[in-house]
Amino acid sequence: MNSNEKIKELLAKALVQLKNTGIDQGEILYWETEMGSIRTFLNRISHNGFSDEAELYVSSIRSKKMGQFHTTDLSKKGIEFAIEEATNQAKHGTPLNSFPVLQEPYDDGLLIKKNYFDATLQISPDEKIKMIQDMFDISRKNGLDCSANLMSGGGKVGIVNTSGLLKVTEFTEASLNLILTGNHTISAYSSGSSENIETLNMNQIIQEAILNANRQKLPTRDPIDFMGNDFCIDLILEPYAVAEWIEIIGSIGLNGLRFEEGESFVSGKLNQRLLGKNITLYDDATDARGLIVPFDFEGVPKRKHILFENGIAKSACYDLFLGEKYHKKSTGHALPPFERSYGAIPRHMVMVGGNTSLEEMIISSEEPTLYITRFHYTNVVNPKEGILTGMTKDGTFLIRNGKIEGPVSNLRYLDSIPGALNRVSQMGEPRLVHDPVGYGGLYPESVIVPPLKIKKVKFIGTSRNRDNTG
Amino acid sequence: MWQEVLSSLLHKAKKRQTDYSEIRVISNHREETIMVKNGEVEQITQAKNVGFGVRVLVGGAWGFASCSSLDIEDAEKSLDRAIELAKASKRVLKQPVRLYPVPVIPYGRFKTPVRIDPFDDISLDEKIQTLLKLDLILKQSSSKVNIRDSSMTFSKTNKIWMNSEGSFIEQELIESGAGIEVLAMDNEEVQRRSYPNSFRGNIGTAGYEYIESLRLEENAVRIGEEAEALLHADSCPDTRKDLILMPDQLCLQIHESIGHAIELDRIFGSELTYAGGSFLSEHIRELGSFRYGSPLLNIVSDATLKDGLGSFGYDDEGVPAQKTDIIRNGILVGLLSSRETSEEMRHLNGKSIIPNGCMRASHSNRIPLIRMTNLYMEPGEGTLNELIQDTRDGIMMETNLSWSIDDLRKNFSFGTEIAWEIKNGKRIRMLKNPFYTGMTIDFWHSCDAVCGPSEWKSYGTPNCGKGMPGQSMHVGHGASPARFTNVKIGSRST
Repeated sequence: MNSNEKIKELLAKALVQLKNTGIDQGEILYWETEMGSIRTFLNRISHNGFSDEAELYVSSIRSKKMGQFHTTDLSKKGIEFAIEEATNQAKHGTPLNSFPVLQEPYDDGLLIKKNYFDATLQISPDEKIKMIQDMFDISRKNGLDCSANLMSGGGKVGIVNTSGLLKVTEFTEASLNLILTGNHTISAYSSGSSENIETLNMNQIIQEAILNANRQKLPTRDPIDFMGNDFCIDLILEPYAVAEWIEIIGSIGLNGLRFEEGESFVSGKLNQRLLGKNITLYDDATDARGLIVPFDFEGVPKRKHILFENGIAKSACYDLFLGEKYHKKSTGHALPPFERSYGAIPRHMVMVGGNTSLEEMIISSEEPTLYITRFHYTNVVNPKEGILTGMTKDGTFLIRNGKIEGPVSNLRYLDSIPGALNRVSQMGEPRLVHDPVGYGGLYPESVIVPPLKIKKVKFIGTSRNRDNTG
Repeated sequence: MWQEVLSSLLHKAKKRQTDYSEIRVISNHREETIMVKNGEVEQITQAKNVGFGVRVLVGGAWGFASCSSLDIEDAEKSLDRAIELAKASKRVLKQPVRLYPVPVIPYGRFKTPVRIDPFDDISLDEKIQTLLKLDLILKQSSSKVNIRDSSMTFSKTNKIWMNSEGSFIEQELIESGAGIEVLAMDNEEVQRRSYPNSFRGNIGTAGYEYIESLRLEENAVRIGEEAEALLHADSCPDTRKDLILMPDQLCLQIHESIGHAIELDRIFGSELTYAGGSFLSEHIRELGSFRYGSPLLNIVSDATLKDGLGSFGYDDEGVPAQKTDIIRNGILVGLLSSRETSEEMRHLNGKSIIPNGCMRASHSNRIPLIRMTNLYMEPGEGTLNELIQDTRDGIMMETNLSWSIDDLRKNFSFGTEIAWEIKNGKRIRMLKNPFYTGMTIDFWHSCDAVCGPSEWKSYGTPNCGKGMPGQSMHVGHGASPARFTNVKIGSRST
């Protein structure tokens, strides 16, 4: 990867060229990543790849009109072309009614922790294959097949603008997610990530999945056999499952665009209690427990931003443009330039937890309860009511009389998640959840959430029986 | 020029004991998106991207590397890296990859047929004016419409591909798309309508003439009025009855509950860590006899479909675009396959599936994967009016709003923007917040009517996700309205 100094030099030079076109304001974003990924299925490697990419986004603003150009051609000619095209575009269109002043310079805060490790970039292909081989061996010894994705690499993001801002940040990241399968019905998941591949605890990750798989060795039952077709049941959710709900709640409910346009369940309800008193939710890209980043894609510094406090809605998320349009300050949640039309989304959400362990949640379950590892294909059914649907996946168990009785087939839930977050009865210690699918696989974003016990969530079908849906 | 450069790289690869190698060059990928919101040109974005992707087999193990430049030195580094990775993978090889033989294409060339080049023949101002005009019509359609979005998107990709078996292919692929969308509000109630499809409209491999064919102006007033009417419509009831799906929704039903299930890499398990598997893994030996749906169900994969978003000349393994039967009279007869999976299938049960041209990579920095091309349902007979007249008690749903399906593609649920209740052969009322759910095989078995060719429409799906690192692929679908019996239906609202 290019050095930070070289990136600053490239950006400063490009800004001079951009200014020479006679613009009012302008911004250039540099984004470079170097990523290696090994993907396996059923103890076989399907993909061992490496990509080395650098790209530039040029935003040119003239008379309140903006043009944006993206290129991976960083040759002298390529950069000149990008600047020329962005500037040409800015001559077209209609002026926006409101236009922000781009982020001005500020002093760097101290990063809470180191987030760039040479070891993550320098690990050799043979060393990574050794990790894969070890995973295969452990899986086989436990009678399981290993499907995994091991990603490692790093990136640099630099931004320069006509307000005088010039910043570069860097990060490294290693992540492992795996699914252990066996005996036709077993499917167990776990994942972990770290900025430093040397501290990515592969053994802990695989042992977590083995524990889950071992719980699935009993015969799988279909909940419809004893609960009926549509039913409500108490849940214990592992942090993986909680993270999926919270991320979607963030993108539909706390996205400033959705909020201001009236489509969010929070729209028009700030300072009202929408979630249970025990739910406090904030976004913090500087939380040392997570994967950290110091500024957003407009260069606005990241900071802790309260979203719900004791169940009361406190604020949505904004970038500079949304903020200007709706008379709010940017909260540091700008997406990459070409995704601006999707709004401003919290990508580092943290839920305050409690001190009940998963074991205690299980033991204290007097009612029949489902223990859910994670969800699959969760999607928004009704954003205004926060209703989501999705399937359980990779370990769903029935708890009766305070004990895990055995696995059940995957189920489809359909319920209001804000409603469910009003019925949280127990919370555990929060942990980092990071499944590397965002931004093409490598960017420091994460969720820190606790396991939860929730009363009476609605289910409408299972994946086991034929036409068991009605 | 490229033939020489790539030949030289492939020659270097051969000297280093690769069994097979291929190089994909994106020499110029251009994109343009224009978005108008509530009378303002909210965003104009353009892009020009380039890059190399190199894939090699060494001792039966894959290695892949890419770079985002056209610098030959960078391409050489990528080749070195791909070989290094393949050699490392070889250490834990369970079974060597073998490639099903395909004919060599000494010189293949394909260009999307277009009448009006969206980059060269139409100015940015003209596109903007068209969108502003649409915005004005949407504004005038209803006083309850608060949010109006109109957008256009175009791309042109120049791709060069060469492999060590002697194939060399150049392609220029052009896409054009547009859509309009409104959000109507009244107190707490919010309703959305879109045309020609949700999530920014419809898109095809075509020139600007495709935008003109979408008849956006003609439909702008209608969607504004429907959004307002939905504010006061009755909620879709919780019930179980006949369901008519309009083509825009039926296309996504095909995508999720057939398209992904028939990808042979998924069937073999290679997507387990992200997108999931397929229930067809249990039925892989029943190809040619497995009943997927009613005899009215006929599904083909066709990468040669005019304007289809999944149309091209050659896939990223050099296999020509083709039309393949997938389901014939309800029986599963085909699968989507690569050279690797075809060979694996042959060893599995001796049944041959010829690689059918569906290996595609979204960018130069991604490996090719098995992807849908244009997967469509062949038309049956009759008109939509005749189908409605033939329906005693049912609900008709249009335009997708929400989708979800389990990891094996069995249990699905979909929400749509709008529905109508049908009683005794007539539409009697509009319904809001419709939702339906079911099981794949039961659902397709329950198909008892498919409308004819006059009602058939195709839609592009530009956001089909698969792979790690993730790839978002452009695929196409098509269908006529069809009816399904005894489906579980409900409301998206509490």
